[in-house]
Amino acid sequence: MKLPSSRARSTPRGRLALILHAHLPFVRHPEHDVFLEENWLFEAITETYLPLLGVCERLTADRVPFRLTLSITPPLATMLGDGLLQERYARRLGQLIELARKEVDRTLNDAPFDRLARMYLTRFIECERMFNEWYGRDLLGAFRKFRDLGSLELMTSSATHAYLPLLATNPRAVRAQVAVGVREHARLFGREPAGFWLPECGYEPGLDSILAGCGVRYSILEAHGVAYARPRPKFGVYAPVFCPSGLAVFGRDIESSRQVWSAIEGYPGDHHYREFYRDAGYDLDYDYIRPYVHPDGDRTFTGIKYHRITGPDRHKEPYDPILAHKKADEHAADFVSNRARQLAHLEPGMGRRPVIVAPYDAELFGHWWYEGPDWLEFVLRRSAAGQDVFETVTLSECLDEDEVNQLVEPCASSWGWKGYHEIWLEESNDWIYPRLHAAADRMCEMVDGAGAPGALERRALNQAARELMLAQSSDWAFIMKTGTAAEYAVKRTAGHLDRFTALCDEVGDGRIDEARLADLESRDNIFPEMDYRVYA
Amino acid sequence: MTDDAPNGVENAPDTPEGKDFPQAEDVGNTYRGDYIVLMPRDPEWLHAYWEIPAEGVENALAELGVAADEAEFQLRLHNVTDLIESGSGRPRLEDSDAPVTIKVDAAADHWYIKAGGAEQIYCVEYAIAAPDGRSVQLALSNLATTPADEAAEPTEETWVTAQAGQGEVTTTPPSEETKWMEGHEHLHEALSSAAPDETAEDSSPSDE
Repeated sequence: MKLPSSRARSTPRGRLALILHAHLPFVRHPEHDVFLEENWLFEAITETYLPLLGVCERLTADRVPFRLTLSITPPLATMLGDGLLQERYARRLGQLIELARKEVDRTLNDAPFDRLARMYLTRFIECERMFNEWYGRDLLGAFRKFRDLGSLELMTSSATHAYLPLLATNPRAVRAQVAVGVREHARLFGREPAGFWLPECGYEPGLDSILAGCGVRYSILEAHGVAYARPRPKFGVYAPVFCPSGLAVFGRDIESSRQVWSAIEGYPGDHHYREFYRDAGYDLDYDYIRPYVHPDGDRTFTGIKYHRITGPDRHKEPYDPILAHKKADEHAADFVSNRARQLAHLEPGMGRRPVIVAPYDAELFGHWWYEGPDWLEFVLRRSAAGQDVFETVTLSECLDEDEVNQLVEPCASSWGWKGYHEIWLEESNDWIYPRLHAAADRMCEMVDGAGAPGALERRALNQAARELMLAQSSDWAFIMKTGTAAEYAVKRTAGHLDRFTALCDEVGDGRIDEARLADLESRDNIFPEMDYRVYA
Repeated sequence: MTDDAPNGVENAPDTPEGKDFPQAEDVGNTYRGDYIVLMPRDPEWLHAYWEIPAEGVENALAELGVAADEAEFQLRLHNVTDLIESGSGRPRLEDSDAPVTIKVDAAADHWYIKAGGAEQIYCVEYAIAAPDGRSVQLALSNLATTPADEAAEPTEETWVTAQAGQGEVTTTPPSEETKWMEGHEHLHEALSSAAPDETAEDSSPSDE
């Protein structure tokens, strides 16, 4: 057997794998006509998912060769495919177009705000056209299209983005999260996922066996998850490694991550970029803006923002989209140049083509960093035509090329603060774990004792499994920690556990309230093909 | 996406059916009997939670012949890294000579415990002790391993050709310190800067 060797010089010396992790918690409240937290999805569609699809469309139309990997979690995919939420998004977009038209009138002859108002009107109309006309509201189909073209690789994640290391007291519960995540992806996208995004890059030894057992080929860890593996990986994070189970693992590159993520050094903090927190929903006259904020009267974000970051002070200058666009290109050139230098430096000592794995939250691009999609497009164009040191690749392509890899045991880790589990296990959220663990144990006991249940009992057990998984979403612990919308996160965790317990009690007592069950099935309608035996 | 999300819950409408959205305190405890669970949080900290029904406490106090206010409620942390039986995987606690004893409040049901370091295997006992030193163990936890906090020294490398661990295996001696590593010390510096805060207390109740 040959160890990795150098490739012919005609191929680029290195590889860059750009990964976007797209996720939102499952928020769907049919019991309310308008529900504030559903805006998380609507804002992300307008500001991130449609702009990213626009990037793919333009690159494809211009025949720019590119590779991008996107993980779409099952909750997000379910919401994107949900008719009720699609309808509500279209309604919200209609509101924003109406508001933007008023803004065009209001800012007439008020330069430079008039130009910005017209920009938002154009963008909202473009979103409406893409959403309704181009894609027929089927954004999953749009992502599938680029996957089938070979430029976009799709990954899945755990069923409800559960933080798996902290559920490890019950491996069956972890396996159920992984198995449902894989199955849902196949159901929604018509093909098995290429890889598995570990929520928050949360890893604990032993998870690799569960992933491999569910047919997963690869996953991604934070840098020290690989760098601190035993034995020491010869190539650090710049080559995949194999776990004892056979799962392939890639490590996140710190340098490329810092350039985009860092609040100090990162591109998104440039003073020319758009300021997120100055929004017309909060800035404009209340009576004027009221029809476009929450029906209860509370001000909310509209996505119409007229200022740039400017600096650390409260004073903000008007936003200049042309200048910001130019900055995005400059930052893309810097990023590409640094990756080329980095890979050119790595390759001679490795004797194989190094790979830089650069994962980011998808919602950073467009939602938080308005110019992010522009930057990404510039990066992909410059990678394809502006240099010859590296090529963009998918992680599957990496593994097809790197057939021989080092066998190691990765280290417990996450990409959260301090690099381990603290964000999801601290004073604000530690109360959930006794309850989540007990519920997982009870689910397994229910399944073990189910025998041959009737149709109604099967439905109740399936719904209990849905409620348990929804309670396990890492978002609730995270939101409790950050303190923003914490009350909602507590309510969601407690609410799903309450529903779970009631269903288990009803199954145990042999007295299932069918009307109540049907109501829960209608509200928490994620995983339509749920089979409780996934906990067996 | 949810970090600093602008959608404050104070704007959210109240749900008409309060029972659908109970608060945390409305969700009962676990009622799983006497147990204690130990979770690794990072290379230096562990988290334990437990549930001991009142009857178990009363029985232990009766066995010790002491009143509750005379007894000490304890967590005893055992480093069992070198005490794991090869066959069963269970720790030989009888050979654990120096557990770290942490006094906890009788009403506490969870605790953050300062561990002794990275890559160590721990378990913890919940016990009640009399003033004369006699004690009763009420629950013994699972094993928890703290993660690594630094890269390993170069050792023998194993390379495989295929996934699932079924491929041909080649073993090579430790690589010489490769050119690749030169100039990449920053990787380890960057990782070190993310190390847990050293200023934390040795052990702490989480919410008292």
